[in-house]
Amino acid sequence: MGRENMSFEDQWSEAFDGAEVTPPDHLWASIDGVLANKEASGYKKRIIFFKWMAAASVALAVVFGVALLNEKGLDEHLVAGSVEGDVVIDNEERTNAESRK
Amino acid sequence: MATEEEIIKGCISGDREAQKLLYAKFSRQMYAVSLRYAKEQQEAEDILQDAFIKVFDGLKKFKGDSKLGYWIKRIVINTALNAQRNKLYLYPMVDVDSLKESQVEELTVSDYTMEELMKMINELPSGCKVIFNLYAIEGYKHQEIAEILGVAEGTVKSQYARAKYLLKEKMKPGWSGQMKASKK
Repeated sequence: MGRENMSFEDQWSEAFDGAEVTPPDHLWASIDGVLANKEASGYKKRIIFFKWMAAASVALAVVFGVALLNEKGLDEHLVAGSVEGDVVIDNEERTNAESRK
Repeated sequence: MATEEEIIKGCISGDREAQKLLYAKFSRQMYAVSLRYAKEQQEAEDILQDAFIKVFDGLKKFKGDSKLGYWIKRIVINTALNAQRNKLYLYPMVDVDSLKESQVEELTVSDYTMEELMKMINELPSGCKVIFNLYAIEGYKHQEIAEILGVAEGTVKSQYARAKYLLKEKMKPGWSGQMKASKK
């Protein structure tokens, strides 16, 4: 189709088809800066995440450690208690036996 | 030389060299688009910068259904529209029928350089300019533009008619506006 037969819109569309204008050089530097900031903030977030993970691990280890120690202490206490009880019973039995004699 | 696929992969993995290559490949074309929507050069630069950051962030979502250039252009246009959304005053401006086309034969678009055409577009009122860009150059339909901008289809039609009228006035031989048509 000749240009003279093209619609007004088609003429404009054709005029800008593949149009190029070189942007100023500083624009890439600016984009590069934004990308670098985003990258750095990504690392920062990751570091913060790992710090929290480390803190949470330590806290969990402490909680488990305390729980384990408590459980162990309780067991020892129970064992000691039961031995003491046995001794008392033994003593009572011995006293009863002696009084029967 | 890296293929488009390699550049895309590099950009997704955050390789700055690949990002620079993508920018070098498309920035000139996209800057021309951005200039058509922006009121001034600084705004066009901001639009281009924001658009490329969005492109690098969203490239992993690019499925390849359309050409990469077309996908980037849509991002540039959306960024430009978002930047101007608050500044656009879109209301039915004129009765379309009242804009009688001039009987004086105007010059055709091909009689002007791209810079001159760009200047003509940039001198349009902002609402008219956006609608003219979307309809005549990007090829959107009136209804699509109405949906994109959230206005009535009648508003789009009347704004477009106004834009067309103003541009035709500028294209008359001996138009005494700021720009002088340079017959090629």
